[in-house]
Amino acid sequence: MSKKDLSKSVLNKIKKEHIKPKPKWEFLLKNYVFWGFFGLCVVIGGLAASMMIFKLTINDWEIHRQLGVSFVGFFFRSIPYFWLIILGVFILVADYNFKHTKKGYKYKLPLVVILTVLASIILGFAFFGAGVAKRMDAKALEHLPFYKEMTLDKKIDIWSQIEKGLVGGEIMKIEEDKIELKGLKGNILEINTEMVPDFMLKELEEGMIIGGMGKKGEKGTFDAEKIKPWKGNFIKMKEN
Amino acid sequence: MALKNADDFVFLIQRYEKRLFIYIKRLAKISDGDAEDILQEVFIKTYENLNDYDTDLKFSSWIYRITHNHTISFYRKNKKASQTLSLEDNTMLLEKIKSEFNLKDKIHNKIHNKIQKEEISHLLSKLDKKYRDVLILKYLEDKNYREISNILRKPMGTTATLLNRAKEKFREILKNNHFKYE
Repeated sequence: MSKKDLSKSVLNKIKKEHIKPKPKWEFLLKNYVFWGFFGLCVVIGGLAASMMIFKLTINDWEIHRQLGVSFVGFFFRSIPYFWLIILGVFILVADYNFKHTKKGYKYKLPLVVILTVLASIILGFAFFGAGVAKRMDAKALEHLPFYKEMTLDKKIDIWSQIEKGLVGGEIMKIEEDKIELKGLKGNILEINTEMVPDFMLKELEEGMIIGGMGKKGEKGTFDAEKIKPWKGNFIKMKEN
Repeated sequence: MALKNADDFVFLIQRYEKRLFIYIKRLAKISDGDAEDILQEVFIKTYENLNDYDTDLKFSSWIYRITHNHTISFYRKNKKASQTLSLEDNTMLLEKIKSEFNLKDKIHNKIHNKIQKEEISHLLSKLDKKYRDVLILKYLEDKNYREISNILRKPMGTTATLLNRAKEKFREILKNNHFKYE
């Protein structure tokens, strides 16, 4: 095709098919959509990061000895993988959107990933500080049965191992040197508090959910050495 | 942009059609007719997307990008084989990268022999497409790193790495095929 032919055929096609340059707003919109999804994914990543921070702060780090596992082993068991996966997925989606913005291709992927992770973590701390993570966790426990099974139910199982020196439940009555506890699985227990330091006992009040560490005593009693308020959200079991 | 007037757009077509036609032929093993069809579509697409042109880029980088993407998509859709460069292109490419490869003079002389040229051409076709594309842009289309980065939509660093790897791979292929270099 000669020079003239090609220009002519392109021009003819443009005129015949009434082809017009697409309006600028279409391209701007497309670019903003990618930026919008990028921002949204960073915010969701931030929420996931805040949940991870929340989960790590409410983790019962001191009980690994009772469970007979090393701290390192317990650490890996305690990583909130669910939220870590959510964070990972949204960081990837965020980076995909960033790469598709008009100038996103100019930046190397590892740099974009690092900056996105950092942004998510900073946002995560902000959300955590504002109490968003605690509220999200409470809502998820209330409305997502699988989430409750993965988190609270697992924690309840851990704190219901009296043989391993772990009890948890609601304080029914506080008396001198003993507490009447309704265990996490509904059983009534008597907790001997003679060995528990005073500063720990001062924090306790009736109706409070607690976790106690110590030894199994005789006839359904438990000799506590440490008692602490329950960390994190708790949903009481429904009465039968 | 003044080119939004279709008649003015003709000047742009005339300015780029020849080099883009050659570029398309260098990228894919297709007939002249197919290359012309691609070129026509490239210009239509360019016209439609004029408002998307980023003035931070050279216009040539932008139109090369459209051409590259369009050719690759045609190439994939039609399952065309990767192009074996013409003997002319091959010689030009070798001339340009000769100093970087430190090809010995006698070897360089040898490659002027037609059989050797054909062999080198065949060896180049063995390179991965991503390496061939970057070598074509650098040595046959005379694009600098920034332009290649804008055409291929890759970061500058990645473009430089890709080009170095392309040269390494080519060097390896030359070595494995008994072409000596220092």
